[in-house]
Amino acid sequence: MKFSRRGFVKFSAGSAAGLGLAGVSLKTLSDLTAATTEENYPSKGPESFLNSICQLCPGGCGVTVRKVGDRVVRVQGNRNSPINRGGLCPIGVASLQYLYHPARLRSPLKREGSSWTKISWDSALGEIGSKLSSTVGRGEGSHVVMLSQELQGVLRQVASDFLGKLGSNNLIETSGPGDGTGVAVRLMQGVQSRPAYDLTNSNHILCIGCELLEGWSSPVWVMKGYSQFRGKRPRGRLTYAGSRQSVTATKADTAVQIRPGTEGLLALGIAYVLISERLYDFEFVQSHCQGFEDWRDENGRWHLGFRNMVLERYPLNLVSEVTEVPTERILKIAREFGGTRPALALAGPIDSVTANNILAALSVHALNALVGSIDRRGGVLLQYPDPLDTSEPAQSTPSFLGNFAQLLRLGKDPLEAVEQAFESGKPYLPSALITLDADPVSDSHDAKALSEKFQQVPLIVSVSSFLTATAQLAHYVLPSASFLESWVEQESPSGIPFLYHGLAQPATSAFAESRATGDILLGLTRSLGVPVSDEDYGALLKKKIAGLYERKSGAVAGTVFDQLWHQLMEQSGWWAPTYESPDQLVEQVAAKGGWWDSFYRYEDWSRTLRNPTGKFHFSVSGIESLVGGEAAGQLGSLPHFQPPAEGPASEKYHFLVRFFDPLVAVSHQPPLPFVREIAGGLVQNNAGIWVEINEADAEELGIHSGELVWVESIRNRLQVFARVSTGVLPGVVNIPRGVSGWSGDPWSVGSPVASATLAEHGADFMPKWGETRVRLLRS
Amino acid sequence: MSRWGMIIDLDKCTACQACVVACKVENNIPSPPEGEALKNRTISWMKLIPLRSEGSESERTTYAPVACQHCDNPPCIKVCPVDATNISDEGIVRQVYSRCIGCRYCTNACPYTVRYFNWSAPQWPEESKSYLNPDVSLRPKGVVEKCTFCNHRLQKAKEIARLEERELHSSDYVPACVEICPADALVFGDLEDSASEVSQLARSPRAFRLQEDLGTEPKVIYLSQGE
Amino acid sequence: MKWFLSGLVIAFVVGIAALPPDLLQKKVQQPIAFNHLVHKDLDCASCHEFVKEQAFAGLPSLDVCLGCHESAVTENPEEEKIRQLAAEGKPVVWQRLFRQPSHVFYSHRRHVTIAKLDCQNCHGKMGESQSPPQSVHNLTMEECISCHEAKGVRAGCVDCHR
Repeated sequence: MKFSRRGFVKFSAGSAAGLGLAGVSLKTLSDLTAATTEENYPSKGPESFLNSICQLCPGGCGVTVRKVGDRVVRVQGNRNSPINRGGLCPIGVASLQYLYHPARLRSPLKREGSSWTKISWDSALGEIGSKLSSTVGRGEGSHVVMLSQELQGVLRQVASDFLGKLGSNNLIETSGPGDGTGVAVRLMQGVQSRPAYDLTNSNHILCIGCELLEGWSSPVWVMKGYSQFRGKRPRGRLTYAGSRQSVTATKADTAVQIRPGTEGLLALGIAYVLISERLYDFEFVQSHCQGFEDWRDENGRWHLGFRNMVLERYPLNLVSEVTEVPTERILKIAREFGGTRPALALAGPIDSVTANNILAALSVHALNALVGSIDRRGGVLLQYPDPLDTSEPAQSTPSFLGNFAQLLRLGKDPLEAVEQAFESGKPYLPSALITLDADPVSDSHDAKALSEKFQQVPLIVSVSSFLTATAQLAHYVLPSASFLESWVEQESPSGIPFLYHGLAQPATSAFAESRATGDILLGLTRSLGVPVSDEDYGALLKKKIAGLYERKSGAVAGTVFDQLWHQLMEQSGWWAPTYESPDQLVEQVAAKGGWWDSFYRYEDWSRTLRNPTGKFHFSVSGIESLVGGEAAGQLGSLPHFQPPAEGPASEKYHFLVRFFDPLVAVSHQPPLPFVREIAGGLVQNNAGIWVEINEADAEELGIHSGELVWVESIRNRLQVFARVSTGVLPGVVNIPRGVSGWSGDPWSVGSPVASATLAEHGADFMPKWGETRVRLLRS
Repeated sequence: MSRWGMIIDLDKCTACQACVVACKVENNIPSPPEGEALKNRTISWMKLIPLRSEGSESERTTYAPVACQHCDNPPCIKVCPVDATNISDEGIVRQVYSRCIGCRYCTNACPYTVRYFNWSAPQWPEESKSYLNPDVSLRPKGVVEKCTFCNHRLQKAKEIARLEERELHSSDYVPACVEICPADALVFGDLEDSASEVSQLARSPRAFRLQEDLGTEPKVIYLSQGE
Repeated sequence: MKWFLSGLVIAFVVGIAALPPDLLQKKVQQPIAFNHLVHKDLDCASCHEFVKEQAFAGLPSLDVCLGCHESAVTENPEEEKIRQLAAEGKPVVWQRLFRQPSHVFYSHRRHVTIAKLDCQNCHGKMGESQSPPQSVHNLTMEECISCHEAKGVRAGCVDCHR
């Protein structure tokens, strides 16, 4: 073989290249191996399980977290919790994405001009404390306002103590719109306590505007109850009447679509059948009701009773014409409702405090009285007061709300009163504003107006896990820990028919420098330089729970078997506690996730009918101004029908918009990716807000499902995905409320603007949820 | 030998989609990268689909959770050129990611469209990696994946039963979706055991399977809504 | 071109064989030069505390070391490092020597507690080493399968690849 110099050069060059290639291949190979070795996988560790209580909505579900080392890798339902018995809603499951959210705040922040500076807890609390102290010094302490989510026991106490030290009573919990049936129970039964619903024992549930399966009451407790309701024999029957083809509608045995705003009229039509066909409970109506028959007051004046009003004014053909429900269907619904006892009628939420809405709630609850489902098995019950509850929502009206607090007892969303107070500037603009895990700007129906007002407040402190739209306006942001990182207390959620008091320890250590909201409040209180106990939030909770020891009834949360055993014991007058000392009780309650007492005494009417007459009142007082006073004449105090004051259909805005609250919106927390995905799953995989439109309307406008469209009202316009459906009435579009993000959220998709900003509002700045008109434009 | 199957009772299901999210958490399924959702590339082993059925009164739409039907006669395994998908002797249709070549014949062969192709490598924000389940791998770009009936839970349950020197109880092994269901609409168990709850429910007059006429013989059995 | 190509091929082959292995694998440096042999009277599970109960065996935390070495047992400067780390409040970060790809699932509990295998089956004479080995052992499927075949134990794909 000839090996020329030229050959040698080539050989050398080739060798060099080969050697380089070998090196590179090896390097690539090792990189590849590295990429697939366990080093890149999150740390391993021993597996453990701990209980906590979900705080992402007021439902109060017990959760069990699975941990691997220090990491929380799963959140599931706590089988011992009497509320959710091992089940959990998608938001609770996704709470891991809250815990490990990329936008969690790491340390206290101070705003300097338009930028944020990290500061230590000591300096943050010190600076806020001295600013608040000088506010008090200027005599403006009583003008400090605190906006929070719905609070529980000790946390509410700590918050109002803090405000008390400043001389303020402005603790305002923005709990969202009231439950219609709950408002009606208070008005017609003369009680203050919250209602409870005996879902599992009912044989027929009639939802008139009530979205039973989409976040109503304590959502998972409702789903568990629904499952038992369907599983028992005879199987429970569900009837739905509403304007949207919701999940509840698709699950109902009978579902009717009605004209929006005619829910109350349909209830009166059903009452007409019950009365005229004598399907009502004579005994209950005669012994326990007032205002059914015509009656004479002490001045000798005759008043129209409910029976004659219904018979005279709401014949079926009229009801059918206005509600757009055929007469025979109303007859069928009413006969089924009257013929299947026990039966339960549920009203929708009080979106806006209008005559139409309140009267609808009263009309629906009147049906419960007609079938005798008041404080009876399978009917509307009343919650017992919490044995440890020393902190009922403040009895005195927050001075900041002034006259705007008037309609709160009728179910008005407290946030709306706050917005009205800000908008009017009366009685005053807050001297300082503290937000507690609440994001009123994102929740507002007029975020822009509220932000502008907030900017005039001299000091805003936002306690928040994220830099939400509200926190972005604050002067100080204090990072709060999630419920999985804090001690948690939980009182009976609204709607459940038993006593529950939950306690849970932190499931994992707090993220970065974040602290539990309770401890932040205690820190703020101490920063005022007034004497306070040095106990932390967890210690205060444990001390409170120890108080249950004195009650000598109820039991630590346990399995279904434990529950049956315990009920059997209590019914026979026995009580066998598993604990021997208050400390042992606290330890057990924290480990299992709660204490509860399932005992309920039915037909305890002296407790549940607290009107001066001791009866259920068909005619109520206190709504005269709302329903038009004298003008309403004899009907004034009776549940009658007043049509909604919807704006006139105009050339431009020809669709009436119905705002609805899907299950994914029960939490007023930042939208988590998994929750967004399932919301969008109903709209061909598109995450974000959507608008539901009737098939024929869509065809006329040339709109296709899944396409982006503009929804425009007189107030705002939004770009959202269209969802074409036969389940929408012509001339109506449905839009979910409460599904939005904020501009700094890395996981936010689509428009961060809430659909609530479309709502028209009146001169009183109250949003007209049921009366807003929009038009749709193709993008 | 057990034959694992699932009952989905549409009369109890409230369409809340807790099963959908529980599955994503359990099986390390990331949210799709931006823009991918619009291309229909979201991976969701369990998903909620609208189901139209002839009701007594009129045609109605309801929702049904749908995952891999774990067919006894699965069309997907017949088309796989590399034996990356096969059926276990306990009836679970398996997917071997390390064998899959990403040809997607199986995704086309599946009449239930419950097989998903990884169009991109899985991605999580750094903070969110903390919730990853150490029992399940992260699938690389280019392979097909689907519901495994939480097979890793079966392995773990068997391991624990052997540690405790006892037989495996049906209740030892439940997939994440069944465990979370707030309406107890999902029931899981051994179809071979005629006394098991799944077997009893499978004999209900309300029982039906999706696209039964195809002869795929699914082991996910639905109970229709209603009486 | 012929010469170039043959040079390329020969150098590539020689290169793969002869290039320093640390190009493929970095040498592993343990924080403390641990001597397994002097600890031989202890059960492996005393320090690898999860080996019988969990899927992973666990590398000992500083607390495990301090259990015996809170005060000096020998005069070895390596032992002193334990207390030094403790004083600094730092964890001891051991480097893993036996590695497998992240898509492979292996349970120590299954092999140690149920199948009653000796640690040596996979880890060889690690227990007799006097100074920490410096190279990583990447476990291969071949190693798993040969043992499973020899013992006649089932090896389904998704048992490990899941």
